[in-house]
Amino acid sequence: MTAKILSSTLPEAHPVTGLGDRVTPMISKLLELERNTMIGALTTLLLFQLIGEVIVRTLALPLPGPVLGMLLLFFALLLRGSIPQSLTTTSEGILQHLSLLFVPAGVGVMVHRATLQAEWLATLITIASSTLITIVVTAFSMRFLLRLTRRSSSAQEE
Amino acid sequence: MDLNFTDIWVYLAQTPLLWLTMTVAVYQVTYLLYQRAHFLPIFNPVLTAIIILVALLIATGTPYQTYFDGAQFVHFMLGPATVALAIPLYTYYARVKQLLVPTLGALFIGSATGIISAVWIGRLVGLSDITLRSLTPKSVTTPIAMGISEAIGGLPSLTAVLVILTGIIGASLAKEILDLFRIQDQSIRGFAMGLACHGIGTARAFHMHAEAGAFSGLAMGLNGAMTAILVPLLARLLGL
Repeated sequence: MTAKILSSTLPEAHPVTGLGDRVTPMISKLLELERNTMIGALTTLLLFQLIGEVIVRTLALPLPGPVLGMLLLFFALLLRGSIPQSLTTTSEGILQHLSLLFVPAGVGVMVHRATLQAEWLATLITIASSTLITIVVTAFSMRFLLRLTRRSSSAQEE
Repeated sequence: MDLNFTDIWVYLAQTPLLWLTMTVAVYQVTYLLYQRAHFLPIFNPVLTAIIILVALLIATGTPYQTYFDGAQFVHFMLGPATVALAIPLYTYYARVKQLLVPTLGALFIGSATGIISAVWIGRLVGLSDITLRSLTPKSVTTPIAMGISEAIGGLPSLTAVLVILTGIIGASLAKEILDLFRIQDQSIRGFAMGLACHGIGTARAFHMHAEAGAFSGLAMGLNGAMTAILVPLLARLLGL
């Protein structure tokens, strides 16, 4: 009985009906604005950022708009099942030059010269040690958890 | 030939065109330099571009606000770029799904480590309260970090600078530190870099390996959300 209920909630056993039936093609459309042009892809990215921003403001979520936009686009791609070619090309183009986008905010260092001059050494020590600790702790905890899950899954197979 | 050079300067100094062009052009030059230097960490193009631009602004007596009026168009692209991270995330979804538990576990531990270690070490070396608050969200991408900083009483514009400094330091030393501790799995290397040093770490990770880049982008996005949730909670515990 339980198995029956469970399997009926699975998407394979239960082809998309009702709301999903209308939503999925809509999302597909949203991803293919001006099919296969760079402007179309840029529109998609901006649209998802805008949707993210509006939801975050409306619900007062402790999350930045673009991050929610990223998650929504990710789920939209999952629903669609593939990435439009133009979106791949455009996002690759943007992400390839990700570092450039940090320059304008970084130049802001000139405004804070006084603060930084007064505590530059303490700031540098804090940032460098905290960042390196974070990298190492993250890497080790991920490796540990990876081995743990691999061991338990191989134990199940035996 | 009648045009006075000062007139041209006065005109250019008022339009966003000049500093927008300078930002992109200087970055092109510093990136070329970085390539020529065989990607030596201290030639990080973000760092050298910032140094050159600040020198130019000081030399010409241009205030940051005037510079930003032009450069804001580049800055604005951070938003769409963050959204665009959904694409590499989707491409590696199968692998991410496989590693869901280790990924989320490492996200929580790493994110908390980044926040707590910054506050503890900062106190130990005697950072002022305002710098400490501005520094707390240093591991996440600029727009997110600025929002968090403002919420806990830091200076958002100082946060932007500290975030970028974190990215540069992290991206410069990540490869060496990961090699030192013999972390070889590309997904782990990328994840640690994206979590600790956001977009600049991600740019470096993409450079090292495509899979590392995708996991770095994933970690950067996830940690943006995780830090936004953790900082307000931890701030009370840490007495910020």
